[in-house]
Amino acid sequence: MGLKARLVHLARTGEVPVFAVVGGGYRSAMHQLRHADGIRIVTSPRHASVLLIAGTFTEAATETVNRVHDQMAGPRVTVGWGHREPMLAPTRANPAGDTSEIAAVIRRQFHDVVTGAIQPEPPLLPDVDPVEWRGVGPYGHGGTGMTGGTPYGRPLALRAPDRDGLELDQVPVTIGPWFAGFPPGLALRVSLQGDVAQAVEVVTTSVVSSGPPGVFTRALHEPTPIRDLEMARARHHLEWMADTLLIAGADRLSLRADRLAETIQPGDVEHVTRLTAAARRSLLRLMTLRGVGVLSADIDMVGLGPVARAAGFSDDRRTPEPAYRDIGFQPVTHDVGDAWARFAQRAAEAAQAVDLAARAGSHRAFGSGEVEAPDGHHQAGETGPADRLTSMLDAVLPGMEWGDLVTTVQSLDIDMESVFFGRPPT
Amino acid sequence: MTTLGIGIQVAAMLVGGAYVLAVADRLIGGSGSNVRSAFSYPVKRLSFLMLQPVTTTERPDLAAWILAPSLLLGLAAVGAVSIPIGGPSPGGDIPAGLVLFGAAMLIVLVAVFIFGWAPNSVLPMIGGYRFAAMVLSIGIPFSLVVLTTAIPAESLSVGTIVESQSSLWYLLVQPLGLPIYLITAAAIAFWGPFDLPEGTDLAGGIVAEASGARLAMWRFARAALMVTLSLMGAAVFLGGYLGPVLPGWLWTVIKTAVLLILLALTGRTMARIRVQRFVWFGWVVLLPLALVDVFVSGWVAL
Repeated sequence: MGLKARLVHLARTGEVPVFAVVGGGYRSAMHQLRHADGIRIVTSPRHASVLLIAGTFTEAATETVNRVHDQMAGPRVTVGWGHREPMLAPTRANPAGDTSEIAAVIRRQFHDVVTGAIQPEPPLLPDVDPVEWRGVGPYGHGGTGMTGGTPYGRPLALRAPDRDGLELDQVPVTIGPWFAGFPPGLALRVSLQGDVAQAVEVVTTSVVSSGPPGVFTRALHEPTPIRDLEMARARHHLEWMADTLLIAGADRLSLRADRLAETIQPGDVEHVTRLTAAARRSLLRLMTLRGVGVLSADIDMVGLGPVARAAGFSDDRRTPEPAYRDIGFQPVTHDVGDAWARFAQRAAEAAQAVDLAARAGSHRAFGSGEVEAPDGHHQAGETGPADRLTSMLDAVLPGMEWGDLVTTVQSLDIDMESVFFGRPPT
Repeated sequence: MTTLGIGIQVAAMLVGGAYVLAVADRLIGGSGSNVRSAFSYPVKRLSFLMLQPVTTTERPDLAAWILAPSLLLGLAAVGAVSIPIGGPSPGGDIPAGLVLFGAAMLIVLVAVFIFGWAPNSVLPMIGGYRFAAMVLSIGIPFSLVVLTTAIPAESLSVGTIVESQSSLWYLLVQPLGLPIYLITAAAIAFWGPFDLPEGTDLAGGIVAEASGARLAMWRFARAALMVTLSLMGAAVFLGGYLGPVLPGWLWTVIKTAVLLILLALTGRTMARIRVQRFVWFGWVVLLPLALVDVFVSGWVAL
């Protein structure tokens, strides 16, 4: 057996590095896949062998998905998961089943492409510069002096004053829409000076399309059991906590939050508070979140749900709801309004939600065209809080170090599905 | 011992230690994996990376990108050479081994920075910037706590420092030493919770664009660096090869493995620190504590 054959023999049953592009309706499913046996979700396509396209997308996603596809080092193979847009990268298999089914499909495809049973996929885009070399200006780059210009279609750095009054290079880059640190579908145009974002602009092309309606969408139009609403809220917040912990590098706790989101039952308040205490012990507050992304008091936060409540606004659509009043609902709040307050707020709301679910009996709530979803106040036919959160990014983020910028975006819990379709997250 | 003998010894320690670290890291951080699969995990992962092609980016600094992993591995090896493994070496130690080690560890900054610079891509570049800020903040406390162990031993040779611990380990003589050393060593090896250059918030940072053999080489070099730092920690704070019953080299292996597992544990369970917070921590907390360590040790030695 030659060296290559030996390597293939060892590698084919190894863990599969997967880069996931997540569209509408597959947020929770991706959380479960993250700890499926033999699967490793990687943050850079360069490290991946399998491209997973999960959920639903708009046509505008095609170019970005193809680009991600071509960035994979290979031997590469694309797998779909319940996605219905054939114009995206051609997929080998496209099951609509549960986590264990897709995990088995991914392992199978990886095995086959590593052993050579199937051909690795060729690139989808031509390997050419977006713009031809034009050779304008003193150095042929099209700018003035030694900066500026867009040789080969890539903008070069420009000099601009920094926060200390020095003139330093500023590089314009677009990060997203499939960047691991952002919610799927969010892309930002950032002017970076070193690791500080000096200007931020949200790219407004929608790439994710809306998945099937969830329990909060139903609650807009018909009274829904509080038990269902609150359990969905608890799961949503726990998954969000798992994301926060993952981006903060606390892998073990992130896994624990994901598992809890999967198995949580009404009344499991203890489990949630223990998870929160463990997060505190991991120094999440002290090292990562405290003092980051403070929202100033002049921002209108009414209707922004946990984001508003974390800043001390006792604003909750559940308060006037008779059914919630009957079971003794009181909104929880935190002050300060930084990323840690938002973490503690959602943790407390998750604990409160499982408690409410246990006490809800057969109570039903909403149905009046308004609902308090996990991300805030939604009204039928209106764009939701995610839309407002997105539009304040360009004012909140400039001046932040890149890591703080990512922490802040994550702490706002922006669901891009909801931004473009004005529907509560599921 | 011959040069070749030392070379083989260092290589064996680095490879073995890297394997122990990979397995420990897998057992702690892996999801739904059983113990048996953790032992084969490093081998399978290495095999896959060797099969994966090395991708490139648009107009990278290719020479730097190729050289950086070798530089990192070379620095880890140079740092390890001055540490006696099985017992006092008959040919005598490198006279100023501690200085050689300290110098090699601070040049790690160069290897990491150019590995972030070379791909001509924004997220790896930020990873490089971050590491520069980190090493500038903890370079002094790191060097100070290592050099402080030379005060009671009255020698810069690592062998003499180990021998001088025959009655009491410096872990107990200089209680501030090992904690500061482990924190700063984890930062120099950009290991969690100080893995800022490779953070999830940078989609992998300096390694975001690396694949295949290049990534495998970088991963191994980093693991080797962790081993070297743990070897030195075991030598200057835990009495190195000194210990009853068992042969000296086994004591070195056990003590080094304990430090490696400790680092693996904190790396996967704690939240990553913000870079501003880390710089503050380095200058305001670690540096004064390291100075206290120097003064107290000097006082005791007088």
